[in-house]
Amino acid sequence: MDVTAATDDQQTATAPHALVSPGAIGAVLVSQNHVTATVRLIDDDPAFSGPLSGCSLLPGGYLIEFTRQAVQEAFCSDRPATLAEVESCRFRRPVLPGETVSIDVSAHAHGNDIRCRAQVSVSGALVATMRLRCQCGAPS
Amino acid sequence: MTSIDGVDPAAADFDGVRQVFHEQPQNLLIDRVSEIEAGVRLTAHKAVTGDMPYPYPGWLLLESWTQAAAILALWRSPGVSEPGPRIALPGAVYDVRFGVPLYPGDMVEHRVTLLRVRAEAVFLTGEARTGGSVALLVGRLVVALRSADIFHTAWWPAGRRLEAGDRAATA
Repeated sequence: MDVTAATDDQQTATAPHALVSPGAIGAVLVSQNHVTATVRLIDDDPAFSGPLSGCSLLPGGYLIEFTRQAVQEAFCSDRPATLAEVESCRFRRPVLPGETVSIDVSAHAHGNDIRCRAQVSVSGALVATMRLRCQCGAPS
Repeated sequence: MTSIDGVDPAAADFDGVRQVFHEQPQNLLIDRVSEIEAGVRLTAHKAVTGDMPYPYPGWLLLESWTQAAAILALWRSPGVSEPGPRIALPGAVYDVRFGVPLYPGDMVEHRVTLLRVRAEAVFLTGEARTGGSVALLVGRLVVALRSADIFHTAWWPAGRRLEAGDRAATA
């Protein structure tokens, strides 16, 4: 896949968040091999009913999924991006209801493989860093 | 709120798992724990159903395995003596690879091994299998055990880090 050709112009799009409530809409901004996206988490989002003893904290897996969705929207055209590998992911601080998550991804394509580094932040404070590998196209 | 020590190991079915997590059913990604050796290893099970997207998303499979790992981490881990209700906060995960895709009808078996405990950071590794095939490999997960009470405040200070998890992740 030619990432440069696919992302020559800056564009905005709406990222799907099927597993998050409809109120969480992501705006994706693409430039070359760089993508930024935001996700606004509403106060009563069911995602916060997680396995943390009643504490309203966003499960870390959502941050990985947000990043995958941003990669899919930016680099995979109409094909799904499958999460193939999480090389590393470090969680620095919890994400709380009502916060807006900003995702900043640098990606490089090798065929259908998209390797990316992402920083996730809330109000300028880093909440997670990760290195992922995604594959454009459905799993075999 | 119930301490993990209040759960009968012989009854780690769906209700027992819910008791561990105080969990809303829609976000509970483990059905049953069939085997647990405190501080050593655990086997848990999850049925993939048709009411979720498929192939079953990788991040949900990892989240499901992480819940199984959290059960083992919370289950009277050696070296952790803090009384009262606790939660297991993921601090870092490394070397995760996804194998065969999962579809409705697949039965997933999570296998978790506890590597070591350092202060209140617990290191775990393992895999998820279905029908003899590997669906997920997790090289290392680090969780920080915390009193549940520390999050029962109105807000979390911006920039505050999960100290034990950070120490563990850089070890």
